[in-house]
Amino acid sequence: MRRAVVFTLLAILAFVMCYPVLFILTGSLMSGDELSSRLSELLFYKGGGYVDWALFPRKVSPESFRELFLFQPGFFSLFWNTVLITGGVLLGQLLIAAPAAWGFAQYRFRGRGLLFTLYIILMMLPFQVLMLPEYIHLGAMGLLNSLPAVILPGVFSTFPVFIEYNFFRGIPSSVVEAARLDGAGEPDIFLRIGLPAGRAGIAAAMMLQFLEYWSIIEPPMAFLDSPAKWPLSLFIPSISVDNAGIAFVASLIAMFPAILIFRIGQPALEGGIAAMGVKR
Amino acid sequence: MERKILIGIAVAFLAVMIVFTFTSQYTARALLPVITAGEADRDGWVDSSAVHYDESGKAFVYWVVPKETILGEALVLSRYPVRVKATKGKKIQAKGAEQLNQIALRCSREMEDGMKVRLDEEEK
Repeated sequence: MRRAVVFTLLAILAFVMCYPVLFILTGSLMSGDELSSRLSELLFYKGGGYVDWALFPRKVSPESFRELFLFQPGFFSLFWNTVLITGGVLLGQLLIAAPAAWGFAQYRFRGRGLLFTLYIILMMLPFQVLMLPEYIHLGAMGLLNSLPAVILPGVFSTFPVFIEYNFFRGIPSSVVEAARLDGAGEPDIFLRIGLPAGRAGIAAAMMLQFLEYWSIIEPPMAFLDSPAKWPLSLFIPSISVDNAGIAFVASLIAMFPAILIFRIGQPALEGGIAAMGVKR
Repeated sequence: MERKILIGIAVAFLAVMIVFTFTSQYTARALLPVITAGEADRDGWVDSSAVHYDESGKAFVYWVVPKETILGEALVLSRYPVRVKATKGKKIQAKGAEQLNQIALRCSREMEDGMKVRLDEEEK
């Protein structure tokens, strides 16, 4: 009996958690007419009543998919903008954050603690605080209204350094010392010992950063004027209610890589978070 | 095993996106209804094919409006009410139509308010 109650409660909770995804899926499979009639309260009366929504469409229609895939070439530019931004940031972080984290974890140098505290403070600062200095610097570099304006600050994000630091710190110093005694140079130690040992941390950091940058909102809004350079995350909210079908399909497509990457990297992410908790 | 399937799905997804990135450039133009547009003269005389009537008998024309969207510019048909003053052969004098610069005269499909169209290349 108790088991059944718990199961029912969990099932209800799971349904509530999954409902936004189901909502998008249902909306994307509705015809334009059905969407118009169901959203008429939003479309024509602008409040005062309720949207007439259903769990399943009256009739499954590929109309919105057809509209997006065949008539909206601009959507694909925005999709690839998102891929470029996310890919650029992750690649840059791999090159910058991992060596930085290794440096903090393995070397003792003057000002190390202070510098790392500065990193943590920077990590805590919200984008709104950093926006103006970043805007001024990017403007001085002539990068505003270009994708590097969003990619570059992301590459130097301190968050992956913090995560990867916790993993690199867990590598026993005896292993590193043994490698040094065997004549390995510092780059060799990092590449042959540090990177393989800290792989889970790097994967976890990259996963989290992928999810962050795939749905990035504020930096593109602040640094990119031209809508042609926007990522998908800015395109979806800008679709009007009378094009809701496109919005649903676009949301579904935008969501798909995030879910996929999450599922692929879930073991690394879980391992990473667990290890971080243990090491701290 | 599951990981391999997921990676396969990811590759297939990317392939679909790449294919439609290129094909949609073509289909977005080729599959749109083709419209022949013209103007009324300054007295409002226009081809009779441009004037339509709704259920209550009120006359209107469709005019081609460029609509800026985040995905680029689209040409959209928009209803514009006119008042029929006279007819002469295949011409109708429609008060109000003289203000419009691109009135839809003919279309490869039945015209609807808000329908996305492309202009006939020859007409352009």
